[in-house]
Amino acid sequence: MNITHTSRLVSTKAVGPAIYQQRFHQPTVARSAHAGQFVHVLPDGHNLFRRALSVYATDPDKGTFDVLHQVLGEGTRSLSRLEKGAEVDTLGPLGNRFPAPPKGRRAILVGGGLGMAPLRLWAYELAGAMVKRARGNEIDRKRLPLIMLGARTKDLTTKPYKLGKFGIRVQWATDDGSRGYHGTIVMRLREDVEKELLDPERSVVYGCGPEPMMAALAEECESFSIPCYVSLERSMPCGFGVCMGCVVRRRDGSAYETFSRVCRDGPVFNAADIIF
Amino acid sequence: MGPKKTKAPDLHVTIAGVEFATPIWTASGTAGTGEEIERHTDPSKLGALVTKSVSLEPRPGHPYPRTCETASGMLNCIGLQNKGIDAFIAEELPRLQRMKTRAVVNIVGNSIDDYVELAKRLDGQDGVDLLELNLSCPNVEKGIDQGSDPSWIGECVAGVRTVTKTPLVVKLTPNTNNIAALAVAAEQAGADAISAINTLVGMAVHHWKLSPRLSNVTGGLSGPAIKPVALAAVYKIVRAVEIPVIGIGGIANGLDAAEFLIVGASAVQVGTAIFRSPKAPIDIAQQLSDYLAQMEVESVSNLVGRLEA
Ligand SMILES: Cc1cc2nc3c(=O)[nH]c(=O)nc-3n(C[C@H](O)[C@H](O)[C@H](O)COP(=O)(O)O)c2cc1C
Ligand code: FES
Repeated sequence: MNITHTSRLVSTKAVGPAIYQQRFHQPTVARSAHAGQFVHVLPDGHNLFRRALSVYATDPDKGTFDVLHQVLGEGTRSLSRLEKGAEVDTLGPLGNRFPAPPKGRRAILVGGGLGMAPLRLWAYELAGAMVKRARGNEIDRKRLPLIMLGARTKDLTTKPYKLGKFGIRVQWATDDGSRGYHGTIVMRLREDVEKELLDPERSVVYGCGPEPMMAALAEECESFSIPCYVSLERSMPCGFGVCMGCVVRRRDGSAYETFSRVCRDGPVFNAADIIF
Repeated sequence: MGPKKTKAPDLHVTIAGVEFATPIWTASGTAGTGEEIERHTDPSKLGALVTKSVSLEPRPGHPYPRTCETASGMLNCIGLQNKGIDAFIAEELPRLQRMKTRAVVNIVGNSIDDYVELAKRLDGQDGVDLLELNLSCPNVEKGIDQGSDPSWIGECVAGVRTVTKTPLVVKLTPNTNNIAALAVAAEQAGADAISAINTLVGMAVHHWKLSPRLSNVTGGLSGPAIKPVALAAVYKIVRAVEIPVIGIGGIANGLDAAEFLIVGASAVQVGTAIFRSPKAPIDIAQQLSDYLAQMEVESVSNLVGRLEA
């Protein structure tokens, strides 16, 4: 499949401090991208490499896809300053997808910071599939995915784009207690299980966020025997599997397979298969 | 009658008796063993695919972080992660045989015996057009730096020469004070071509964390930053040997490739630029063709060694 495309910027919206939601017109990506996958965007300027951005939303009819990014370096800065109509060189969609929830388990989506982006698309896809299956009947709201998001402080709690129409709930935790639970979102998850607000036997966790948070999440899930899938972030020189730069250590690997490529074998892994 | 149609310049080159559709090849370690390149581009438009170094035993490679972007370049300490020669022959060679492109198989060892054994296993295998000996990887810890010792290179190439009929390309390290002497040693021992350069040893430091940015502390520098070093290396080597030289280092467009050919390289390899785009070598071949047309040079071989100095 050809993965090299030109994407045209449709809009840039500031959705938080230095956080931007950008919409690009690129019908192939819009139609084929799924939750968990990313696009690799080449910013102009002096950057040698692309920037990997999770797909945040898609509109197959309009041929657009959205990404969410925070201006952290030169690459994301030049992206945020692009003029409407500007064309950017894009590879994608790349990587694997979140696997479907095992039967009888509700999806609990646990994110930190911009890790929210792929989780939002996953919630949208799961809820959309529920509505489709219901064929016009009411859907069982208790089975809708639950989104649990953590941030340092209230200012950084960007609301996931357009989930209201399904009635999907978002629960927050902030380090300073300025919004929602006071503490980390992983602590909140543990308390919810302990208080029997969440049934570990009827839940599956999907996580995306900073690596230490993913490690803590995987550990909690393991202690409660909740299946857990995490989406990992890596610096990615190529994004399509040839440089071997973006690796994660596997638990079961043979000598050659001690390390897996996050761009090609992931970014989504069963937390039980990897070592943080 | 319409206007006279100018013929597209001829990009074919012949090296060690093997004909290549274009002088633009991939560089080892930057195109895997072809799977991804085949998925994302048209491999028949490549001069050759050079595979990632394969060793006798599988190698796990180094932990993350393995790469770091630097000014106009990058560092890597992948650590030669590969599945070993047995799995390579069983799983990768069939694809190389089927793929409509020339295949150059790159091998790496810890000792001369390793190189000889690897060459033996690959001798006579369908789908191996050339064998490239990676005598230069600075990543793997080694007591002595054998790849910068001309007598070791001579012995290694001579050993390999006796066990294979496949043409040999010897890939050299720039981490030496006399790359021409290394090339001469390889030529005298029976090499059919020289490729240069591999990466330069480098390092990057995280100033806030007071730590190295690579898990292995040092790594190999590649990309546009090393092009001037590579051009100078090719310049010295072509003056020292008769056999063809394949230029490598920082090539990102057709004009970069042309510069290597002008200096005297018969072909070039493209590495880091592939990370930006899987189509890079194909785009570079097209840009080279456009350049040749503009220069009114009919065949790429007529550009080789045209440096006026
Ligand atoms: C990530 C990476 C992996 C590499 N792996 C190998 C390898 O396995 N064997 C080898 O001979 N050279 C290897 N090289 C060196 C390249 O083949 C090439 O000589 C070097 O990168 C300079 O070319 P460039 O500037 O076009 O990348 C590697 C380079 C990079 C960047
Ligand atoms: S980023 Fe190159 S292999 Fe994953």
